[in-house]
Amino acid sequence: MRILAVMVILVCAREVVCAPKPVPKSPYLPLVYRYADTMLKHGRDTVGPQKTGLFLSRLDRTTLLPPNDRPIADPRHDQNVLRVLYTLSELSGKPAYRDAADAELKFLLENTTLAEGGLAAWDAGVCWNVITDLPIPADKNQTRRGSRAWMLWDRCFELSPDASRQRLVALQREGARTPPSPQQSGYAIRGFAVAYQHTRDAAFLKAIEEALTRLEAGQGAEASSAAWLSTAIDCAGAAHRVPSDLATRLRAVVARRDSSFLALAHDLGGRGGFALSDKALTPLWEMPQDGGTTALVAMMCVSRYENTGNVRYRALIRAAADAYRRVPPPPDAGVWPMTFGHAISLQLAAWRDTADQGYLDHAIRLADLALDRFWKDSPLPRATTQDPHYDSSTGADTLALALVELHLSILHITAVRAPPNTIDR
Amino acid sequence: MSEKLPTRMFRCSSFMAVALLTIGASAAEPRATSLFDVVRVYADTMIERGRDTYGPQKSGLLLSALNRTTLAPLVSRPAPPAGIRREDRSGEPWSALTGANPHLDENLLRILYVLSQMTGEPKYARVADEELTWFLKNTLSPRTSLLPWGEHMSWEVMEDKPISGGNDAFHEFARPWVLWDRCFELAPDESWRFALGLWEHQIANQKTGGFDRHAKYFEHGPVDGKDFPRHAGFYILTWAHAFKHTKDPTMLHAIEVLLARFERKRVQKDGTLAATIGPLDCEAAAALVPPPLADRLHAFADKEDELILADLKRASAPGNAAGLHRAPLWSTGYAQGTAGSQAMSYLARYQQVAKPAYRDALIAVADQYIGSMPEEDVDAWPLAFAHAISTEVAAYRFTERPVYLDEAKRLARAAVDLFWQDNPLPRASLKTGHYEAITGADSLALALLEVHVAANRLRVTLPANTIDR
Repeated sequence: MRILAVMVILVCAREVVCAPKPVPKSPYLPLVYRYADTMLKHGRDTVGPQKTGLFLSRLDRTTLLPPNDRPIADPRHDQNVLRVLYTLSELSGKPAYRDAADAELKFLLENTTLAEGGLAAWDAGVCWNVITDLPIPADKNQTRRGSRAWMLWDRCFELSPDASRQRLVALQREGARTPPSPQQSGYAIRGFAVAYQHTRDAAFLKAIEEALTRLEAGQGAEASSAAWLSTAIDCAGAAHRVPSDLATRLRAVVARRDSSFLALAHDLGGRGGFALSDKALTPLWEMPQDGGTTALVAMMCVSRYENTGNVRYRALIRAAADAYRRVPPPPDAGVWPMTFGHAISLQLAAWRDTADQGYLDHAIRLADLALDRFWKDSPLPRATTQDPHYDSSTGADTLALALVELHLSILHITAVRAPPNTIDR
Repeated sequence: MSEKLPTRMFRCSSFMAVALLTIGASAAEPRATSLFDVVRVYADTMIERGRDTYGPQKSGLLLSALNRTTLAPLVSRPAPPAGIRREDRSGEPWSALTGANPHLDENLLRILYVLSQMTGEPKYARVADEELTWFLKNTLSPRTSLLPWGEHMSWEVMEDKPISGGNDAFHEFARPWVLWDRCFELAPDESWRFALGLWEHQIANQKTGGFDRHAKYFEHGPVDGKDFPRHAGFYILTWAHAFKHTKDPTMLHAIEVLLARFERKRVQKDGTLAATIGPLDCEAAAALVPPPLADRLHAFADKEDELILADLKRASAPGNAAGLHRAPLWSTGYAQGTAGSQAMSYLARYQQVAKPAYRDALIAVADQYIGSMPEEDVDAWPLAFAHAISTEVAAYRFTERPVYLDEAKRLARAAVDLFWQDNPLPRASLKTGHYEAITGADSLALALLEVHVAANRLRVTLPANTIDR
């Protein structure tokens, strides 16, 4: 009898050892689809005299209606919504998501009343009041940060080449009149480089040269090192699209900014923060009034690392990811969805780099926590744990993008790639 | 699974390897690291840390993936490089990549043979010989005589068994196998049994030549399905080598059947002709078999040329923005090659028959890579750099214009910085950090050797970097 029992155990053990591993679980993509489907169905501008179809940036999560207080569509805050929609069309084969994103871009580009001076809404800092159908300043509430590179210029040129060109010509004019910050200069240089690639119009090379000359002359020397890192990302991206002499100048700026940033006394192993100029270290979880969290800056390092292979950026990424493994989010603070999104994408970057499953597992833990905090009772995530509304200014779209990336990572899907979660600067 | 060496010892070993990377620069390569040393350290590290010393059978096979931090087998499944499918990786589904797949390491094996020639050290060739011998003598399927290699299968080194990356154990070539001569020297009977197995268990219809590029490894069961033409070329080349070494007439018959199939399939429904197998393997096979089959293979290859070059001419015409030359420069994926990979096919054919159109097409591709680097956020593979570099070297040899050699050097240095970084092994792609042969680390290493040889005007014959197709 005992022998039989041992044999049974051995057979069972062999079954366990030899059984193929099950497909890993990923509940995240259905949630993103629900979010997208809800936005497509309830989250577009169908109110006021003009039914623009723009995505609403604020919604009541219970009624799924725009709130009376600032019923706006702000494309800056919804850029990752649009990028998620493009990705969902690739994943599902359903064009509805892409069509909705395309419609938003076309409206924003072709509606000349949206912003003064012919600027694109995201460059002019305006959003659209969907009730009054008037543009209004984007940042009423200064606690909401909103700096992002515009990564959809290529799609803009595919959809509306003339309008896109006009928006960037206007941006050049504006830059000559009011020199922008280094960070904004980077965004502009990126746009001009895309415009040059699509049009071969040398005026855009001149626009880059002007912006570059200002940067080389030390414009915005007081800007934080994170802002300059953002500039480096955009200049490096632009360098691929322009002739070699200009590319060389751009790369020289990038090299200087990389060196400066990497020379700072970052303290990720101890206090878990990046040193930005002479200010305090970046916080891990709570979004500061000015600047970003450690994860936000770390995602900029991911961008630089994955485009350069510079191992000093790799060390920062690993250290930042470790800091988030050490320090869980505080239970009651107003942590933003954006920060969870960056923390998840950071863990995934560290996993790609190290092949250490612990980073992927921690990304899953953070995602589960984020779902519990923000996504429990509605298809739309809440703005913060203390704010029950949907408000994309706190980065719900960045979290959604991170969840798409997490899903693709868990299931090792490569036919579709998540856009880099590196536009929040 | 534990690390072979304690961490401290690894660090020491790694330090020594990196230190080695910083010495030995030649006058022609002014930077601190010679490309030759990069390749040699890669080979040394694979020999010291990347062979199967695990499980009951210490096969000595080279692992096709490793953790670059520990220089040991991976203990979990790493992130996939862009475009790599789950079922094509050297590990069981959802498991760590602990497989050895000689097909994916084919250029590494070729490099090992070259390193023995260049250094006078026999250990490199010995390791390659040991891999071929052990693999052929121990892994043939008892029922089909097929090998656990190629697109989906590998040898699992921990449990010593043939495995598949997907749910089905399919034999499928990943590349042409160009080491048959050595295989027949080392394991003649097993090499012949594989060639025969390919005829009996991959080909479903031995009258029409109907086959599918997937065949069951464990049991007989070929189907007449997706008969991708390039695979017909791989089989023909295998059988031609088998005939050369055994004089088995079955091999000639097998070639005849498949050749006839594609002579028929070349004719489209509307009566026009289209290229199928391509000329390369047929031309190579023609040199190994007697007439009249050799003449037929030559004629088939010539006709393929005619069709391919006509397409190339149309595609190169001014204003054809969607032509062959418009393949991506850097982005590689499943069934998606770069312009450089196309150029390698042109090179291979030019080396066979010296038709100027192929040379000119390669030079046109070389021009496209001048000053180029992977676009922003592209998860470029070592393979993309390999082909770009080899294209520049070939263009330099054709034209003797220094710009091409300079470009080859620039790209080679960039590849070392991007993929090797501070490690003796190259990483799988720009967005991943582990070593995984499937993305062409071996082809990149071969390209680095080409630059080293060209820059230093060495009289060394390297294998052509033209097998990734």
